[in-house]
Amino acid sequence: MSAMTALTVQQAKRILGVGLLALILVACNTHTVKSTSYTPIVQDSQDVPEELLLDVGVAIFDPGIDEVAKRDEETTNPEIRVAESRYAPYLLAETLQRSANWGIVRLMPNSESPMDVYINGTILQSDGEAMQMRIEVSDSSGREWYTKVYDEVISQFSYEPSQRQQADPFQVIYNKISNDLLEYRNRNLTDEQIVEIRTISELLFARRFSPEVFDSYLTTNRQGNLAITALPAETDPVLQRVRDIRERDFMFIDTVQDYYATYVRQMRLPYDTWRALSYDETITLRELRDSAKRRFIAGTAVVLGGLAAATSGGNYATQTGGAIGVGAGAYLIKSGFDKQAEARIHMDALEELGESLENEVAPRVFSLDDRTITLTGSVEEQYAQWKEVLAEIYASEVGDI
Amino acid sequence: MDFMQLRSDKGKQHLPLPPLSRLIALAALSLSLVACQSSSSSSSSSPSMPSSSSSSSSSPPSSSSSSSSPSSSQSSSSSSQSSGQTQSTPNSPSSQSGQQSSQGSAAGSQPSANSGSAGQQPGQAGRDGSSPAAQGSQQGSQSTGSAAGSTPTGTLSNSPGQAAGSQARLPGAGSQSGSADRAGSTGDLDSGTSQSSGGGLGRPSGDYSLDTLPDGVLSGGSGSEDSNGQASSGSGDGVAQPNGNGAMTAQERGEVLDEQLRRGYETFDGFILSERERAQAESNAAGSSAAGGSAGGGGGGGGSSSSQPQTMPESGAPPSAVLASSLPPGVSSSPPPETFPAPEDIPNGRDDDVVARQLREAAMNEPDAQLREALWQEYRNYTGIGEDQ
Repeated sequence: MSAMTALTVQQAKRILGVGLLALILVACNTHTVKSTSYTPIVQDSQDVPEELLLDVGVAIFDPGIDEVAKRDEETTNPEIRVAESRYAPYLLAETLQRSANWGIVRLMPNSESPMDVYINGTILQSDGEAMQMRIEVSDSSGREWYTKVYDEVISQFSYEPSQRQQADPFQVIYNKISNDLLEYRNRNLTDEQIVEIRTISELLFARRFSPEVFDSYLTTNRQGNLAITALPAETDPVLQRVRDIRERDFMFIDTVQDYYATYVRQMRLPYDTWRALSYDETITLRELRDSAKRRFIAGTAVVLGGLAAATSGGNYATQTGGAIGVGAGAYLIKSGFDKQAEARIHMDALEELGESLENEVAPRVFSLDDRTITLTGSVEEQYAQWKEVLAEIYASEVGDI
Repeated sequence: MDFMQLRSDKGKQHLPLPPLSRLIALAALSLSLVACQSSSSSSSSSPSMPSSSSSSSSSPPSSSSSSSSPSSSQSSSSSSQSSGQTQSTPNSPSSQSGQQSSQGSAAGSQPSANSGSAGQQPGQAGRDGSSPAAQGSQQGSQSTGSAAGSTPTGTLSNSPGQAAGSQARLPGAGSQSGSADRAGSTGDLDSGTSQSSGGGLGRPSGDYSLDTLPDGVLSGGSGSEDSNGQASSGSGDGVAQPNGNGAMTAQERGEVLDEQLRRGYETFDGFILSERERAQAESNAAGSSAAGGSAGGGGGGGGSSSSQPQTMPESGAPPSAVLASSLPPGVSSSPPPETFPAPEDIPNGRDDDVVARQLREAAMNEPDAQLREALWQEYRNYTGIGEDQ
């Protein structure tokens, strides 16, 4: 009899334990660390002579649509990602330019124009609350500097008008990228290497226009990177012509910057509005999802415990307790479903928000791309003619004709 | 009767004189024949110039020189233009005809210069013709053309001089061809006939080439030089560089190509600067008051080297707020065109080429529903969407 009582007490304890665990699980909230600290742009302490300033080309980012996590697929709007892939690199280029650590920093319309340093990026997440992007940096010789994932979770505070006036809500990411670039350059590059990188990018440009002359100045080393084999004379007339053309290439790229500037200005307001609203919805959605998940787990556990108590209970009290546990578990599971339905509403709201912004920005993206492609086509046509003339000049100088 | 005898005596007395007069007549005839030969040879030397040779008879040196210069086949149209103009001034007295014809040829040589340069470098034809900014170079080619056509008269010596001056402004080719023109102008003044005689001496295709023209063949050193100069400049303008391979030295050719490059720069600069101006105006309209940051980016101020770090103010927001409010009124400058969504069956168009994009853009911006649908239909036809379906 006493053994029976002991078992019952043990079972009652287990049921209580499972119930408590379920309560704890339900009560438990996810804890997200949000950064409110602001990382400023670091400016190089020493004055860098102009000939040692590297020009930076920031490529249009990869929207990262292929890398969207499954759970985010429904709330990720591809068109917005595409719009962001032109917005974010512009802000990065602007930040780098503002840092004064580099030469010219431009958002590149294509990969045809060689720059000293290239930055490629992929947007991995962007929902108003968090932003995550992968940044890859290399130089004109083909050497990879580094690849790093940057992410930032911001607080609602960042969307307050007073803060928004200061900078983009995710400005910290761009500042961190800028600071990392500076650190890498200062730690890993000597002045000679910087000069070499600059020379390689100039020779690359020259090779693009006059391969018959400049091919021999560059070679690929064992690491697969470009290296200089010889240098053209500073007074080389062909080099002078190529430099003239490069000046014009910069003019072309500058013109494209104006396109992007217009685009960013047009996009900023609707995009900020979307991000602020998306911020709230995303947080609510995540909380509801997590809450639903916890309720499912807890409910299931309670149901299983209750079932065990009800079936193996030796007395009426245990069986009753088990039955109550099953009922409570079932209720938890049902509430989990309720939360899921609530989450669905917020997901729909997010989708609607996305579509709204999509309607706003998609034509702008289209217009931007259209103008850029058209201008690029015209410029490339002119470049092709110049290439022919340079080839003719070379041929006549060599006596080929 | 006495009178009759006297006359017969006179006749007898004059009998011994005829041989002298015959000799003189023969000499005159031979001279005229020689002259005829030279003129016929000059005309025969320019077979490709139908009317210019005939006009050359009236104003010989200029037309003959011009006719000889275009001897290369491509310039026939240009030369015919100039000859047409010379013929169009028939009333002018012979003394003026030289001037007018030379002026005419100068005027005619403008198009011929263009067409000539177009003909020179096949790939460049469009550029030369289309480059609006290449006034200087056009002047240069005009002047050479005028030099070729105008050399006969003293008044025209100015034009080559001007031409040389205008060419001198253009680095490279201008200087050399300019000097050639000067030589040609001075030489032409007294070498009108000498040229023709030179042609009579037979240079079948000697007009074409600097190198193939033997200096000694022509009457005078200067004459030969300027005939060369004319030939080269004429052919250079009208034709030259096409077959100019043989005619021009590598340096000259390089200079001509450099000139083309420069013209291309001018065209490009004009194009890109106007495009920048437009883009900056739009950028400013989109939010000039906007974001300091973006202002830096778009930077109106930035100008060509736009964004200096200092000019890129932080940012954005206040302006963005302002932007929103200012956009509607900002309409005054350049309101963004209203866009209409694409029909359901139209894909996003990311892979469209330029034509398809233009069609799409036109359709999206078209307020008239019918026209818009027509544009979309055109888009479908172009991209083959309709066919797929």
